[in-house]
Amino acid sequence: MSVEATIVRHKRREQATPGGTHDRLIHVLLIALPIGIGVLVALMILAPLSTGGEVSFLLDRNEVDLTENRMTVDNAMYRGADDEGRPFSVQAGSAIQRSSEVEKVEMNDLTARILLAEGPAVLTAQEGTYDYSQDTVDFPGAVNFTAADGYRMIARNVSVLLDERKLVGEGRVEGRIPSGTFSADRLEADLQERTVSLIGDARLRMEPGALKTP
Amino acid sequence: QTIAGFNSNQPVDYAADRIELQDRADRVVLSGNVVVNQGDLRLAAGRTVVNYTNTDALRIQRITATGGVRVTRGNESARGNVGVYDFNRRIITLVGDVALKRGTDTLNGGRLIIDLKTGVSSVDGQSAGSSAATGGDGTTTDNRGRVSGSFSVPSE
Repeated sequence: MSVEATIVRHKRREQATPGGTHDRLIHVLLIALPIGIGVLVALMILAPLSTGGEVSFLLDRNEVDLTENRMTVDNAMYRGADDEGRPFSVQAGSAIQRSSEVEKVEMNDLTARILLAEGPAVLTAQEGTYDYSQDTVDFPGAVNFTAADGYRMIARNVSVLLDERKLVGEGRVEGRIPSGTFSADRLEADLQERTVSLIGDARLRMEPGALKTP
Repeated sequence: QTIAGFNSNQPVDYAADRIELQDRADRVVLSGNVVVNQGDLRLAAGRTVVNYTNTDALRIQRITATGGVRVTRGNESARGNVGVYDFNRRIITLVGDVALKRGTDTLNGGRLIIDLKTGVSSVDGQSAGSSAATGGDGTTTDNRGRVSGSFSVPSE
């Protein structure tokens, strides 16, 4: 036989001799492996019982953080029907209802839509408080009313009665309609008939030649 | 001779106890010590109705004033039961127990026409129906359509 073959055979014989490297390896494994299995089994049994890793706490009702807003809604939409059964809707960027007893919802970036004879009309305002028990919206600031045919009215410090399609204002109100700008102590406006009654120290300014859009 | 060439397109300011804006009828009804100001012209009355058109731009057609009308402009002031300010012809017509005062001169009669273009005010007798009929305040000096006046010559 060739020299390499004899060398290979000699190495194998050396490895296979009792007490060689292979035997020592097997002896070590003979002990290590069963111990490993035992440890693993022990871990699998004991692990769920031990409470070390668990996350648990006691919820204490008094210490929990209370939010004062009872209900905050984004893109809120409220629907209803006016006294002639025609639908109206009040939509807001964000709406906050302070508490469930108060049936008022404070709204920002508000759009109210009502239906008039000529078609839908829109009231938009930066902020308003919608009272859904009486179907009214109070506008501390300005409200823009735009009718289907482009008729526009701007009024300040007024409220809209959605079911009667009317604007009413108690404190000093002011505003603008196509024919001029006005202010008065009290205001009652019928959005359908487009009449505005100004009561108490009423002022009106008409500018002949002024263009139609208020 | 008041200053001629009054511009009727100046803004008009109204003040009253109550103003009814009726947009569909293109009309405004004012009641309760109404005061109308336009430039240096001032009209005060018990009740007024303003008619306007608002097709492309706002144009006031006329103002009808009732319930005792007083018009003042510069040193001229006129009084009557009923007044109509016609914006297109730029004249103010006062009817019924009319009295015109300019400086120290006075002129009374049935009907007064103030022409804002020329600044001429003319009083004539016929008062378009008896002055009492237009709801004058009772004591009308019915001088059967005659004009009476008093002029004072400025003494040097």
